[in-house]
Amino acid sequence: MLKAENLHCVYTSGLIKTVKKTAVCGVDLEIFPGETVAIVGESGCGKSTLAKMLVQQLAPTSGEVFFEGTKLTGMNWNNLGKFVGKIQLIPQNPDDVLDPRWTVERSVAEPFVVCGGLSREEISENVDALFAEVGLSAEHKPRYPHELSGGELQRVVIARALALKPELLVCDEATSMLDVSVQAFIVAVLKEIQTKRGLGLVFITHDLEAAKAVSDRVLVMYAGEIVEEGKDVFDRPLHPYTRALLDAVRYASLDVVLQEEDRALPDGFLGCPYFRLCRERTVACKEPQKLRDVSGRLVRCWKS
Amino acid sequence: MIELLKNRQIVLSLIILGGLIFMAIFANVLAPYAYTEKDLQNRLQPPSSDHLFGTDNLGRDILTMVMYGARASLFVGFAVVSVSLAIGVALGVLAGYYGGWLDEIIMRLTDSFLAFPSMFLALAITAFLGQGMKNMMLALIAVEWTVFARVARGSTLDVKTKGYVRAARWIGASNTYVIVKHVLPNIISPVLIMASLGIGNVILAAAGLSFLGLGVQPSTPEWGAMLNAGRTYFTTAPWLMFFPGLFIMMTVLAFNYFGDGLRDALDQKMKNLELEGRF
Ligand SMILES: Nc1ncnc2c1ncn2[C@@H]1O[C@H](COP(=O)(O)OP(=O)(O)OP(=O)(O)O)[C@@H](O)[C@H]1O
Ligand code: SF4
Ligand SMILES: [Mg+2]
Repeated sequence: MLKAENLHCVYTSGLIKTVKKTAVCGVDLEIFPGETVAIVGESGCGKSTLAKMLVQQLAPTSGEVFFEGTKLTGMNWNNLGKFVGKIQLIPQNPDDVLDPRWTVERSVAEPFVVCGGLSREEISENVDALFAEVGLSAEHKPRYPHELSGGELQRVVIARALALKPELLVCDEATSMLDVSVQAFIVAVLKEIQTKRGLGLVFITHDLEAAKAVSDRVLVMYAGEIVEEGKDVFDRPLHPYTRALLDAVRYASLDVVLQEEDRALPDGFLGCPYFRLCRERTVACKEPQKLRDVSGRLVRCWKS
Repeated sequence: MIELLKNRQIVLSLIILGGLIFMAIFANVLAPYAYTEKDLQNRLQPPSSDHLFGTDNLGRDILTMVMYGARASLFVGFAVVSVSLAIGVALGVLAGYYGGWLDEIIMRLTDSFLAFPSMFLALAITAFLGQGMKNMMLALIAVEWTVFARVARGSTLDVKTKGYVRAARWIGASNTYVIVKHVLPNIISPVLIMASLGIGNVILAAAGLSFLGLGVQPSTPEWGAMLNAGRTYFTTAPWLMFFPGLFIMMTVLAFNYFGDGLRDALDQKMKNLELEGRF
């Protein structure tokens, strides 16, 4: 359904002395209808950047995104309009997705109003249904965003994203700002909506347990690249980084939490991005690493 | 709205402004005399029970003139600020929202207006267009709109980066929709604050121009013009200048006080703008 080819994103910041930062580097991925794909990886590895490029909120520096065979990247706004609503992003920070001067009811109704063609009663029925779907009651409807808790706000944002019956929902850490029980609830809400509506779900998270619980397939990202991809990644991790990620969770070991300088690679280094931290590195790792198919699993490490 | 009334500064200035506006609207009912009524027997009378504020060199009642003067001053203030606000906000929002060459052109235009000291610009324009109330108002608009353009642009740039603008675009909303429904309501508070401060400034500037003989005709009841007319009698009959001066001061202070109160009371966004040194 959604296909990305060789996506790159290089951020340039600074006015006089420009600094380039490669946030995403050569990502290929495909999402099939009705599938849940989890993208995991440490903070700063480029997950949000990738998500924004997938939904066309950010133009990739190079690479292409296709939706059901149509190329979205480089398309002008008028043509992109046809895909409006089919791909929705729930951004990492839900605070400013809702206009602070609008009641949440009006915000959820906005997609219907903008798309037109519905009477006021129909819109309000739809809105009620969406509120029910995400587990909010009528009591929340007349409130303003600042009058809701984080979890409630998150659910309003989900309700709004569902309004136009998307075929793909990209959730960028939809739960990471919430406490464990609310997290579980939202994950359950999303999962239920997914089974009911059969939409594709991209679930970006730090939370490996949640990723394991909801996903059909897991992508592990490191430094802007996909380092491992497959169905049972967490049961049988093959890439040294995935193993370290799992260890960090299991034993809360500190040696993966290193300073930025310690992990910086020399300029022009083209080998494995994980070279500095990898416990299993050898001289051969200084060669560029490709994603290799290891019995149905894609792994970016020659050793596995 | 109700929360605004908890602010003592706002309440106090609102009472004063309410009184002034009431006086201006009902000047024809409240004023003890007709403003055209000349009583040459009673020229330059000091304040008394007949003439609370005294009389001028033509024997007109100063209290009456001050009351009608409130009409002229408030009218100029509101009219100039409304027109400037409309022009400035429209251009500022367009510049901030669309950016690029449009922003470049609009901002260079504002900069070129801002390059001159405002009083100098107003003087030059009235000198060029000729004396009179309408020309004075045009001159004041030319000075005032830039303030709104800058504030509106700055706030729009801020609002534009917000998630709800992107989210609205991504459900297929047009730019016009986003500007009308999201941008304008979210920039309205800084604009209103600038408007209430602006009315004070405009009234002061209008009085200044009239005092210099470039605004309203000296014979019409307008505070600045009254100051001008009274200037020859300043040593012998100071009340000719004292009362209009007092009212100018009161009005300007009340508007500024109100604006400051609004600014304190209204949202966080202002604090961000302040940090950026826009105020
Ligand atoms: N607008 C930007 N300009 C410059 N650099 C940026 C910009 N946005 C992100 N980055 C950098 O790109 C890298 C990837 O950022 P991204 O937001 O995609 O990370 P992430 O994986 O979502 O992290 P987190 O889990 O903390 O949300 C980071 O190193 C970040 O500093
Ligand atoms: S390629 Fe080498 S450095 Fe990279 S993950 Fe594999 S073993 Fe480690
Ligand atoms: Mg992120």
